[in-house]
Amino acid sequence: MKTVPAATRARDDRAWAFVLILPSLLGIAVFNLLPTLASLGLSLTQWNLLGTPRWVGLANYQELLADPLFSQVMVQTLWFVGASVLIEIGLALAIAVALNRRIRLLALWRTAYFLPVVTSMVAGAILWGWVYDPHHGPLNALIKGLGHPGINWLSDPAWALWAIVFLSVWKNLGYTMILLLAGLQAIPESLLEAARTDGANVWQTFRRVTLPMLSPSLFLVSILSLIHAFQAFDSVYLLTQGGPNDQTNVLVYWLYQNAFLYYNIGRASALAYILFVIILGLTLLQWWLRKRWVVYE
Amino acid sequence: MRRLLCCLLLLAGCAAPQKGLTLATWGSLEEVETLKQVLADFRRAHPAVPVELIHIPDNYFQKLHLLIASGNTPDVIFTNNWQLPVYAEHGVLRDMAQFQPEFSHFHPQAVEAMRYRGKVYALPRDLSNLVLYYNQERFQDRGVPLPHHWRFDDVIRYGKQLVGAEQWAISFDPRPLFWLPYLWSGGGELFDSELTRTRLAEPASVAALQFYADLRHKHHLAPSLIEQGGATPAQLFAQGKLAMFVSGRWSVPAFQKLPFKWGVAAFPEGPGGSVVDADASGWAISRACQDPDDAWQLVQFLAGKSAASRFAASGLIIPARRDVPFEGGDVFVKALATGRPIRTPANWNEVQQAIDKGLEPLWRGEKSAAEVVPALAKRVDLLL
Repeated sequence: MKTVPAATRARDDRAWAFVLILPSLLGIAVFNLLPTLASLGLSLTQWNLLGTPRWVGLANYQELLADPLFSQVMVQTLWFVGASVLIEIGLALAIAVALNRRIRLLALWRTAYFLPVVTSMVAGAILWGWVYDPHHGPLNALIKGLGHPGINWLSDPAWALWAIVFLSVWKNLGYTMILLLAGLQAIPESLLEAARTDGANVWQTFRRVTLPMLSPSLFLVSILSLIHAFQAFDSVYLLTQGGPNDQTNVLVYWLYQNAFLYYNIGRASALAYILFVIILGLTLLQWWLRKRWVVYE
Repeated sequence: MRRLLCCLLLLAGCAAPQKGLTLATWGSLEEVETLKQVLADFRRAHPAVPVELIHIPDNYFQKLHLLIASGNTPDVIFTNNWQLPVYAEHGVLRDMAQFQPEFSHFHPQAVEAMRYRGKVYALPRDLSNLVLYYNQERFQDRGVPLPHHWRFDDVIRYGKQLVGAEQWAISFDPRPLFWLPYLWSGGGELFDSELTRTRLAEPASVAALQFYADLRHKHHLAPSLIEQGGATPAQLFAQGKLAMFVSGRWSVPAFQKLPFKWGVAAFPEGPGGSVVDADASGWAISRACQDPDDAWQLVQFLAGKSAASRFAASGLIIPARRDVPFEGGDVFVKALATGRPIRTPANWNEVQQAIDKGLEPLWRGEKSAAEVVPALAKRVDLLL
């Protein structure tokens, strides 16, 4: 048998590798890359789906930056993201710490907290629509029982955004909690014992040993939660439709309104790219900050 | 090898695109059942023209936009007078004049509703207007005369006697379809005839809008948003919580099974008379259609006497044809005499959103019409 020279073998291997990943590559190119680039192109045009797109350059971006509704939507989105991410991580951390002991029915608790994550957001939003009902909902029943006159969760401009925040936290808590729990369980017992032997109390152990060891998980969870929060749409679409008075209009919902209610595709695409730049910027910021607060053994 | 080739050729023949028409429509299941029967009749009469029905029960116009954008424009499109200008303006629909249609059998308002910039783009199926449904038992319980030939003052005067705990006199819906009767009957108007300016800022219009808002917040005759909770006005009427309910013909089949006696009356009379909308829906042919003559056969059949009779028999609609018997009651037909079709600009979707947002503080009782309308009128004028 003739021996094949090494260079040819390597080339053959590479050729085969390329052929084998070609289906995946084509899929990503056609369904991910092409639409993303097309969207960039559309953001530089004006199109209402019925005619042909008309080139307008950066006009969509300029109009957006000059629109007062844009600043309102941005502020509300940032508010929503900040509130839901902080509450979510805080609660998830507390629950993960509480579940990180050899307690009975640990699997049951984990399932219970994770259940909202695997439920469809549509079902969850409809359920919470009933929970938030000002007359018959259990939430207001509880509040009225405590003496307060009751809150119109979805129709009061002051509370509507908080209603969406709570729904979002409820939905994603389990996911964050599971990741943090896994991170907690990966902390070597030896470190915690060493801290105990040195006389550290519970709070000191938590602050000086647990949190730093948990920082890689916290870093992961904060990026995921942030990206997810910026993309909030279903809850707003189902519960408040951006109202009342545009108080719950967040970026992705406004994008939907522009694209499919006003048929302004150029503007909607421009919004999508602004969102892309924001998320990219925040992620890069987090990567840069990583070196300063994430500890690796 | 030859056999394989023959099979492949046969398959290729089967795969060739068939001549046929696509028809897009909205509608409840019952409506679509009736339509399917009509299409079965058509198939018997024209076996060479297969018709594929595209039923879009929800978000119809959004999906239609997307079908058009992706190059799959249906051949025959069911549309209404609110959205017709959008599609006509962008060249999606064919001018019916090329088929030389006969309009004598239709109510003139129906044909007018299908006209944009002088050209008729669709053959009408039905006329739609608003009447006042009332809960007869509630009126009798409170000793209030039935609301026939009422004026706006009567609504206020008698309405106060119809109110109770968790019970209101009249329905409230913030959508334009439902406040236009108040606007028109109050002597106001939405757009000028050229659709270049809004007439909402005129004193009569402002007063009319304020009257509607007052029903909720000054006289407490209509439930506020919070009082309504999650229920729709139709549900509230069916639950017996509303004495009167402004709605169209489409509520009749759903209300057949109500536990109380109800009737219909004409919309109350204001300073401008008793004026409600006279909207119409009809079938248009798209410009992208490859077989316009076949499509014309289909549209003629759908708007023809036998099909219209089937639709009218279901009780859901007022037929646009004059030669189809309609047993729905004089109230609907009389309202047609003074009815106006709503005229919308080609960018109606954006204009409607601006109007809805601008009027929202008024419907919530936070501002008065005089405060809200001037800024809104400026914004709408910019869009027009």
